[in-house]
Amino acid sequence: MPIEFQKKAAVFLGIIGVDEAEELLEWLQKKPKARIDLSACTHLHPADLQVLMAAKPTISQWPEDVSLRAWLEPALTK
Amino acid sequence: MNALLEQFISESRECLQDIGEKLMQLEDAPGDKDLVNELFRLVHTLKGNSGLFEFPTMTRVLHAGEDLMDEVRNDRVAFSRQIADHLLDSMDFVGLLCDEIEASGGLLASGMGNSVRLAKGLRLLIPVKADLAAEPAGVAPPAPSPSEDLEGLDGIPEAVRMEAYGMDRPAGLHLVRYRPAADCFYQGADPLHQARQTPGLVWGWLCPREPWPSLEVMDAYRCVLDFQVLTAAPLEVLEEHYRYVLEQVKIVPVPGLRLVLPQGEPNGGPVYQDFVAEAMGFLTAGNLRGLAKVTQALLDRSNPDLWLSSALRWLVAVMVREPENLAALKALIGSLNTFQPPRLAAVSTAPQDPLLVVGCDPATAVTAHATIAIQRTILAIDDGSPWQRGRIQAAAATLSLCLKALGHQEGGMGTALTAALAAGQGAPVITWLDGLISSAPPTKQLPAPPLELLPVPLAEVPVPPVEGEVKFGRRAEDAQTGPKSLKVDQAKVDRLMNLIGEMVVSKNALPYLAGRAESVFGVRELSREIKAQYSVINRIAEEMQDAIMQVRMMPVSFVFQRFPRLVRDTSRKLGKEVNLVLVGEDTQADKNIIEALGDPLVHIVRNSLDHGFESPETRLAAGKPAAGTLTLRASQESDRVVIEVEDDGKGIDPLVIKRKAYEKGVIDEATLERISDHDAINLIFAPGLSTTDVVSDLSGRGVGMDVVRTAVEKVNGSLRLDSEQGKGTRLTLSLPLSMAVTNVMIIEADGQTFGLPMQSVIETVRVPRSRVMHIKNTQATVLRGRIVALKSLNEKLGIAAAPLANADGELAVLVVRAGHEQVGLIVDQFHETADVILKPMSGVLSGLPAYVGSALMGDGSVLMILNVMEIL
Repeated sequence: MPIEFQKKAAVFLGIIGVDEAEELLEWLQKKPKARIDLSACTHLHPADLQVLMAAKPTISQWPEDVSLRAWLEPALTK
Repeated sequence: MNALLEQFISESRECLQDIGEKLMQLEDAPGDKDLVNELFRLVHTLKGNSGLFEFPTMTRVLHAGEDLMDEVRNDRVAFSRQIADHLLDSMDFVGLLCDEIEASGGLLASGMGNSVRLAKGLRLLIPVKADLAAEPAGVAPPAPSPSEDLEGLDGIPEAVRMEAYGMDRPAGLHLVRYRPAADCFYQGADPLHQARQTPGLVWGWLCPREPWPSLEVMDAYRCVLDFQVLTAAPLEVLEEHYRYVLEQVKIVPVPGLRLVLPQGEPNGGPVYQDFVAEAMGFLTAGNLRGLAKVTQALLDRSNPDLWLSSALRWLVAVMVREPENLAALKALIGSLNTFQPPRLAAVSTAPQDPLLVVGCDPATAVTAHATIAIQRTILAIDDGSPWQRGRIQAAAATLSLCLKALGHQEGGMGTALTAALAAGQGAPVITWLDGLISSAPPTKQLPAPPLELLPVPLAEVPVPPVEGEVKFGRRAEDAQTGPKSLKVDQAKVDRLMNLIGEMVVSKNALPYLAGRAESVFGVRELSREIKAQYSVINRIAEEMQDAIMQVRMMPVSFVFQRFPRLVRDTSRKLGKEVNLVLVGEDTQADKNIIEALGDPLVHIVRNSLDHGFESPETRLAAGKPAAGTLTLRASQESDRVVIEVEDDGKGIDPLVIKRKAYEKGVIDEATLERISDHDAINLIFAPGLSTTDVVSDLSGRGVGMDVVRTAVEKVNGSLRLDSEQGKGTRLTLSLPLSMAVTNVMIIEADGQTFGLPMQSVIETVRVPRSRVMHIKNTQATVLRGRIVALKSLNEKLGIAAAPLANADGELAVLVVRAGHEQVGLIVDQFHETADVILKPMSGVLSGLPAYVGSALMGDGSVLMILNVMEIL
């Protein structure tokens, strides 16, 4: 499972594919205040990214992957 | 390049030619429906063919062309000159691609951009239907103006921009704007991955196209993200990277100075007039060092977050990178007054350096320029000191080195130096230097247009349009690289072949003539000369014949290529595992032979698959690998091409064949007793045996083997079957390389001459009458320990005369091959062998099976060629 949905947080692990977007969207609808841990994420599909951008959850940890972080941080902190 | 690709290229060329012609005709008769349909068909075919290969560049254009022609065909678009122009251009482009494929075996990515542009051009001619979605696929939204294209650069962190600005970027910077289709996720696309993998990536960012909807109504799978990537990779590399989504991508060159965007807190307002004035002063005086000093000083004292600090940092960066770009520096300093980013609209990344001829690295250039400036000052000193001349010489030497470092040839320096030394003044060298700077030859880079120092809100910056008109025309004046192969109607080659045949025959008349010259007219000298001429003509004719044969030659692969599929499908159907091995596919033979080979081979292979191979279980039980091996081997043996079909199946049981053949009356009881196993299995080619289903089911091999034999024999080929029970079967087909010329042996019987195909002749012997034995009512003789049946040709042909013997009482016996037997044919006299063009019997004569055909001899007589198998 590339996304670990916990009680109040979702932990993204490795490469997050396109299939996760639906579930992520549903989960975020239920938990608008959830925190997202991206530290172990190496890539995520734009579908997932769109969901994150629309839901604007708190990002607790940015990806350790510097190049990915450079893409995500401006998009998710706007 | 493989044969398929070669064929594709030659066919495409033909297609393109046709399209060109049709387009021209259509221009004269725009209403011609047939022409339009034909044109559509051609474009469609071409597109379909190109789709077989990995040529998206080509397919894209053709696809657009096809769509356009479809519209024209259905009267939705009227055919116009514009359409013709676009199509012709596109076809020229496809032609170029064909050349490229032919030359390199593949396509470079460089054509991709052109392909997209052409396809877009074609699609623009298709009117968008009102009921279609607002944004039809393939039609891009109106191109935003160039400066819009460069929007968003200020989102890049200053440090990144500064690094990109300062870095060595031979390919220039490009901004890739990637707007993926909304439904791209369904096509398996991952635009973020695509963008992240952009070669030469400097910085990338993304932004939504529209405000985010509430989560409840959001569709996660509709892509609303746009991606922007600043990259240092060259355009071709980028086009290659984005080749599958080129319609969705816009690649804009980014002048380095466009990155110079000071950012930060304005902090009140413009209060740095003093600095601006001072800096401008330094700049006007050309004192960059002073400027750098004051800039650094102010920078050290300022809060780094200020707009001012950012602008100063850029000032330093520009000074390092382009110290000679005074206009840019000036604009930057000026911007301190306004807090508006300077509009540094230089199109070329580096401003023109009049002295820079070949590109050298910027650091060297800066140093060299500084040194030149110093030397100039030194030269300008005119204090009349005693070392004046030495000083001038030293300065000149330094100048010369500096110019060399800039890649400049210091022509004329010597003259100027001599003049300067004579005058004791540096002036002539300065004059020369100034002249050099002002008359600097145009360098590789385009001269930079004057900098526009405009405040931001003013006019757009002109950036050269990316979508210029691209022409791929191959006009008459262009150098043509003609195709190396040419397609000729087979009838033409056949005609040539016939003519060569006639030539061979008529050349054969010369020896007769020589003979007559000597015997009838008694001119021995002339006879010898004719013979000499004959040998020359003979050689040329043979070479010509060989050359024409080469034209007709085709590789066996033409027939072989259908087998991988056939074997795969058939074995799958039969539940067997068979590996096909093809050997010697490039063996060549005459086109007719190759074509005649196709059906028999299919028959043989199918038979082998059906009856030869066992099921995998049986094979394993027999200690053989589960997968059988079927080998198709082609090779050339002197003037014959040999095809072997070999399987490692269960082989043929001769006992079964023998019994069945006996039951069917193919062989009599006596034969049944004495026939060898080898001969027995060859019985499967016998006509009576093969046609019955029972036999085929029982014995395995048999279905249509008679057909195979007939087909092979029709082209003068022969068949041989070897089989070892349990080990496998091998069928060998031996066919002539060419059927055009037949070598025949000429014999005489009762004063008439006949020909016999050489391939059936084994030897000619003289048998003394005494050695002829009579066994019942047949004759025979013993030849090297073997009994050979003798048959009289006269008798066989119904001629009442007895065979003639020569003076020594010896009979002329021609030992011929009849199936697997050898038979001695008693004739009256042997003559020479000759190459003849065998013409099959036609009309009423075609009913005479005793002859395979007739041939015209050199002396004008007609030679009848006997069918050995029939007469015996």
